[in-house]
Amino acid sequence: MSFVAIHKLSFTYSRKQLSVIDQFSFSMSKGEIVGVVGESGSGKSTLLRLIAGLETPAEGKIDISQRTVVDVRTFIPPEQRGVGMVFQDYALFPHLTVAKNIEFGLHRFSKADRQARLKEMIELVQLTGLENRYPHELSGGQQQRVALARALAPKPALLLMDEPFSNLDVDLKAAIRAELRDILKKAEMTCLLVTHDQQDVDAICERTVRIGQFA
Amino acid sequence: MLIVSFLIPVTQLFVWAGWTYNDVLLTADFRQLTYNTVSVGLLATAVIMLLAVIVGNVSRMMNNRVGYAIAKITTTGYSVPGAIIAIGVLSLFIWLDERLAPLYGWMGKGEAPLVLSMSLVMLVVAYVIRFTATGYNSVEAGFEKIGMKYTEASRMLGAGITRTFFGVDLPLIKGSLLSGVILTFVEIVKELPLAMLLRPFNFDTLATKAYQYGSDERIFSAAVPSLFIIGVSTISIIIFHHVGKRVMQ
Repeated sequence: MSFVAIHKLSFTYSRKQLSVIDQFSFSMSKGEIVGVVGESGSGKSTLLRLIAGLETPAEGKIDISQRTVVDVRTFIPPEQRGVGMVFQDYALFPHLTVAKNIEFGLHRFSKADRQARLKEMIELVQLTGLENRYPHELSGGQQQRVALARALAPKPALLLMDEPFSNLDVDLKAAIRAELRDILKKAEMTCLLVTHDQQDVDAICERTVRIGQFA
Repeated sequence: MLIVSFLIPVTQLFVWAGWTYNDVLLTADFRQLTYNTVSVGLLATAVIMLLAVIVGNVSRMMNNRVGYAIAKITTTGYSVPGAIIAIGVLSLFIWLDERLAPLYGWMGKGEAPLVLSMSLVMLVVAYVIRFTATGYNSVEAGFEKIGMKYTEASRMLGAGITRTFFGVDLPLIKGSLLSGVILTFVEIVKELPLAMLLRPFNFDTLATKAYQYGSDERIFSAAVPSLFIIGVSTISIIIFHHVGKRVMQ
């Protein structure tokens, strides 16, 4: 049984335009790290936004761990899907410290559990000592790790990553790729990663999906 | 520019005020006038900002023509002259009072009195119609600056619309909200036509008092209430500026 099942998904930004995503089907098993590769404008970010619940598909169906999150009749809002997301520009809350950013998704945890989970996450992404910094006081690589820790903290069923390396310089990229793979494996996370760079996929993912004209 | 538009007139006002302040300060209760002006200004500003934030957020969330239309309707009041709004609001409230007359009778207030149309509510409603645009534009600029990404990030972390609003959206537009408050408040403090037409009986603001002196051909005496308006505006800008500095840290 597949963990994430997408069935004949279609999406268009406006009725006059061609579909960005047309009859797309795809499935993932639990713990798998899959890379989505495609040209810019091929609809790969849109695919993530559809799975996340930030866009509504024109037709099709998405199941996440045997629960239908969207089809013709159903629409489960993003906050109830149990899906985490690392945004391309990280979208760290500028008014909150690193610790508060990571704790943001832990509002349903008890205070003690929240503290424990925060500590665990900080250690996982190796940011000890930076808990009270604000996002603008961090380097790009550190910001990316905070974004990852924040997304992983509430233990999502599925992690979506939109161009996670596009804002990093080349030297950092190689180091962080390896690190990211370790972190994801350690957390036993099912992860869907979108990129335009084949090297990202080769370094991290177990399987590649091509999207767009040449699929 | 500053000399022509501010320093020269203010100096002139001070000179005139010097001639007349003895007389004017004795005949009019400036503490009451200032209190009236500030309190009606604060009340209307509070209602306006609340409305602006709600409409701004709803229109941003809807992100379609309906949302755009709601935003436009809320801000059209700014392009309508005050006197016309006053007449509209007046007829609305008189109609409301007629409809509510049985209720007033039942409450023991006599047969058909003008309760709402004699109250401050009418003036505040008119201010809200007229000046929501100033508050709304600031709020909208704030929302535009932050975009949707923080809102989306918050919802991906399990926060619903309400928690996202108070935990993320509102703190991030604080600065814009504050500048909206200043603009709106100062705008209302110096407003004349609506205050003239819709104020309750015996309710004077600094602006109506200045106008009254002016129309009584006592233009020099009008200098004192005018300087009070400038004082209230300046003080409010200074206060908000300090609050703003603290908020930003």
